[in-house]
Amino acid sequence: MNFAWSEEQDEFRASVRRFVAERWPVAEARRLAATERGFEPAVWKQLAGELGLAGLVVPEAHGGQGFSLLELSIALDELGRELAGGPFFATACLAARALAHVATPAEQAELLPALASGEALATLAVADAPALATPDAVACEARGGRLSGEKRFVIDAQNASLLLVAARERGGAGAEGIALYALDAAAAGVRVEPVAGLDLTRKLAHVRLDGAPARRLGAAGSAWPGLARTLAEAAIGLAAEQIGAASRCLELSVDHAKQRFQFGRPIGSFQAVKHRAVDALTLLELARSAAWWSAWVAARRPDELFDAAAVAHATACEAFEKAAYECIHLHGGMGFTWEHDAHLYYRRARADRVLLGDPAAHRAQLARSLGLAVA
Amino acid sequence: MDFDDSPEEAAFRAEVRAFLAPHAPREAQRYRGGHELAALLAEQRAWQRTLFAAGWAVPGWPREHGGRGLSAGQRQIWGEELRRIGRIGSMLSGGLDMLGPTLIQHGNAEQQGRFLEPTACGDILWCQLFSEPGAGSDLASLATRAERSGDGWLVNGQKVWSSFANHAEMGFLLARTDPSAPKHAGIGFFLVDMKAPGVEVRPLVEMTGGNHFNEVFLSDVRVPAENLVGAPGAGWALARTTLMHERLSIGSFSALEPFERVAQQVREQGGADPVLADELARLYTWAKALDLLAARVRTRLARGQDPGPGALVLKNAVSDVMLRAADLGMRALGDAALAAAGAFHHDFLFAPSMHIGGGTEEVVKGVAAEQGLGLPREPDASKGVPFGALPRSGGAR
Repeated sequence: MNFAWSEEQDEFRASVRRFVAERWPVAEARRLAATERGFEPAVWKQLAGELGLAGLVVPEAHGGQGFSLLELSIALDELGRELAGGPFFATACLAARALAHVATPAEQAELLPALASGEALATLAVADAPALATPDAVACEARGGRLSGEKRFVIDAQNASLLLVAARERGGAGAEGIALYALDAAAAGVRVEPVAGLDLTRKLAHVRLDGAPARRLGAAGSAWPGLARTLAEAAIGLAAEQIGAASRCLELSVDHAKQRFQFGRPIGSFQAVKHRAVDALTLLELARSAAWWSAWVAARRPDELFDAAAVAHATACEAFEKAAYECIHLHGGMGFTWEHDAHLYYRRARADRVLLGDPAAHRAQLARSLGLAVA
Repeated sequence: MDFDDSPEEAAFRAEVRAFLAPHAPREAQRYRGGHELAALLAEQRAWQRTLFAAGWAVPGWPREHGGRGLSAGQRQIWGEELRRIGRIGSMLSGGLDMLGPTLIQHGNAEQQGRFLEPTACGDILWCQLFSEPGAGSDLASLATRAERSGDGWLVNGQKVWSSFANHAEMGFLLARTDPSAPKHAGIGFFLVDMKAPGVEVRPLVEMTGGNHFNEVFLSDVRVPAENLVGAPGAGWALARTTLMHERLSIGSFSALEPFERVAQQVREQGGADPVLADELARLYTWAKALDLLAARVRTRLARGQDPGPGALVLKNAVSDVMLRAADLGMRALGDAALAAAGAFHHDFLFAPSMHIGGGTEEVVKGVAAEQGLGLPREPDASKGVPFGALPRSGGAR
């Protein structure tokens, strides 16, 4: 047993941290929140190309770096600290993984290189609305190569040229009959409506499809297992991103508690303040351990993927919400202002628990897996 | 990062399993709170002698003192394998996990020669004589006195929360050797014969109905000079070593174990309602995370790194898991919880002690805040003040 990152992984983390601190700190994330795209193309190009993040987990044969979820979770952790990354999550964590799990080798060879280089942006919509996706949550219809239906709150859909959409084909029920389709976002019958979201630093859009021309990837009606794995991996990736953000919240809180004097003492010397900070630290250190382990499971133990995703997601959500709340509280009135960054994290924490399904939904799945639910 | 055994670890695990296989007890010898302790101790002493004869009595101790010098990772594997055959926890732990390592680090050759082997083979059960009625969280304010008398020491005072003192051959004692020094500076670490004249042990009955703890009254107890460990005023540093080893000894604990006991109950009942199922799954997520955090801390220690802030929150996290598991176990019982005894009654009644013993929840959080987050210390009214000049509970000096 060895619960430590390798030297190369530590170096990789340091290089991403440097890049984010220089090019995409939270102040920049705040500025970009007011823009349509939410990212700066020149910075994206560097992140995707020079750092090679866009193709981090894309096989080398398709122009990527061929790394595992371990490296992906490092990148997300570091981006999460500053609420940075823009289309990274949708392209690298959702779309690229869905292609890897569902598309044929030929389709992967055709579609992945543009994602790996960062030239094309993509996203994935499985359930018709954000939830812990089950086959029943896919009602969007595929008929004769045309899709009709609606996908709500799709991550970064307004930035994607390639939309990957799960749809139900005729004749199948439950998991049978769900296929993955690729759509050109600019095609007729595709309407992408940006949403003004709770989380100011992550872009969302509704996607409405009205007989939109689409092309099936992989075999007919058999995409569900691969999509379920993609979403479990995404939950693990999201957990890593949350750990980074929660760490930053705690650092900001502690720095403030050391510098802010009241009653002639730094407020961080008061037990009541210390205990709040340690409550956040406790959840964070526990959730961080689960997040790291879950990334290893995703890379090496496919059989345990779903339980690990539930553990990582549920603990990261709780830890991040706690850290984000305490960050506001420990900053006092200042933490309640628009000007302070605390609310950006607080908004992100709440939105994160909805995007891939509420922790309670993940726990319900876990309870079934552990034999705790009434049969 | 790799959660599988390395080839070396796998080989070590196989060696441990091969040794343990013929020794697996018929049923788990689990300490269940104070009933029939004498019989349990006799059984555990026999087991300890079996281990001793095979060279496995104290595998964590260095080789020159009869141990195997196991690494942190190997100790973990040893603990996991003991747990697998139901051998967890021992009444002899005070000597094996606390006093032994302290003597190895701070004792002289004569003390090591006299005490280490009988401790390792289970002939000496050691009890801890640290806490006092007036010195709990603020242990360094202890008032038991050790005064020079002839070529030894004369000890007077009262100790409390001493585990298994009524079964112990020996105790390790903190007593004040110099009341004119600030409170941390004037403390000595002594080894006391529990059968010596003037030692009186009064068993306490805890809220579980069992007896784990004792009060120990010391009246003019003679302690020979050779039973002082370290310098007369150096006891506080030794006590810190002892308490650190106490914390390391719980390293083989698995937080999934209390979860699994409740899960077993629920499965036998055909599953839980959605509310209880959610809380049980939530317990699982945090218990799993806790085992992982403990593993992360062990990796850091094994690599010679600072254990990190995570190590400082483990104790409270363990207590939280035990409290939650006990609560959910009682809930799973339904109306059977109303009976005087049941599958989770002992856990339920024991659970409140978790956040009190071994450092209260508040003290542990204070340490985590200061050492883990670098938050400033609270002003300490006793800092630098001679012990004899400190105000004490009830206005007593």
